[in-house]
Amino acid sequence: MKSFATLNVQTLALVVAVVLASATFASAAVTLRTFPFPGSELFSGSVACAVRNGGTGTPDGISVKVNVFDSDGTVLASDQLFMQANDADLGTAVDLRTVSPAMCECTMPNDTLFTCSLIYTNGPIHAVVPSQ
Amino acid sequence: MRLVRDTRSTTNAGRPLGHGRRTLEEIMTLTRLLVALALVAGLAVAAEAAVTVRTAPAEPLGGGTAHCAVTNGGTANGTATLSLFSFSDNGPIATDAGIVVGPNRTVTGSAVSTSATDPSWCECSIPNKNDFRCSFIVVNGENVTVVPAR
Repeated sequence: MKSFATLNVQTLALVVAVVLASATFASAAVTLRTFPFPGSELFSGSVACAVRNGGTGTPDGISVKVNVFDSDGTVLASDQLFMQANDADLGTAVDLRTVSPAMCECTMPNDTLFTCSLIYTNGPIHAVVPSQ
Repeated sequence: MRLVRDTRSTTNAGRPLGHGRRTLEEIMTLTRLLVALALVAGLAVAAEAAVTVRTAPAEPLGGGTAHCAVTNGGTANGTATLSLFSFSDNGPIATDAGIVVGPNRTVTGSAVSTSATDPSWCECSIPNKNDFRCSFIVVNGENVTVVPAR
């Protein structure tokens, strides 16, 4: 019969292994979000989410999902982008005459090589809101 | 403290073989595992603790408006407090306390004129940095400046 302490050691080792495995699994894909943008105060121009892959790619491209939200949490545009190596892509642009974008949410393989931003364009005006 | 009883084998004298050494090893292993668990638990608790983030200072031109804003990218409601500071005052020139921000929602704080005051930066108390984002925002016509809070 195993001693109580030996059983505890094995149980604790299992718990630690599960916790570490969960942490590793959780870090496999990351979701980045941009800082708040005042789309409700602007009435012309457009907003789009942009993604950059600073690493290698795959023949079919690496899948990244981007969403544009308004201040009420409604998804205004949603895209699945396939990123090549050293690539930058834009999601669907939304028109500030009709909607009020507030943030971009980007789900990507990692935040080391990939990053995401919200881009506002209005004639010569250009603003970039980074993500974290 | 109750130590481990080893019942697997004994010497002629009736004392467990390697009793002291094995027990010590087990205690040390247990201690290491408990420390590891405590660290993991501590990190999890720290990640959930409320945090205060601040933007870098800006000096917006007159003629527009400035305010703080907060976004919740998580799945549950969270409460935030936004404070807008200026160049000329020690205290905030606008404060919005107890703002409840729903999932994927964005809430803006009180706006001030960039002509009448000297708004410069925001301080935001948020539930966590994983789901919540805060900005100092200036709008002047169609020109926009967004300064992230880190």
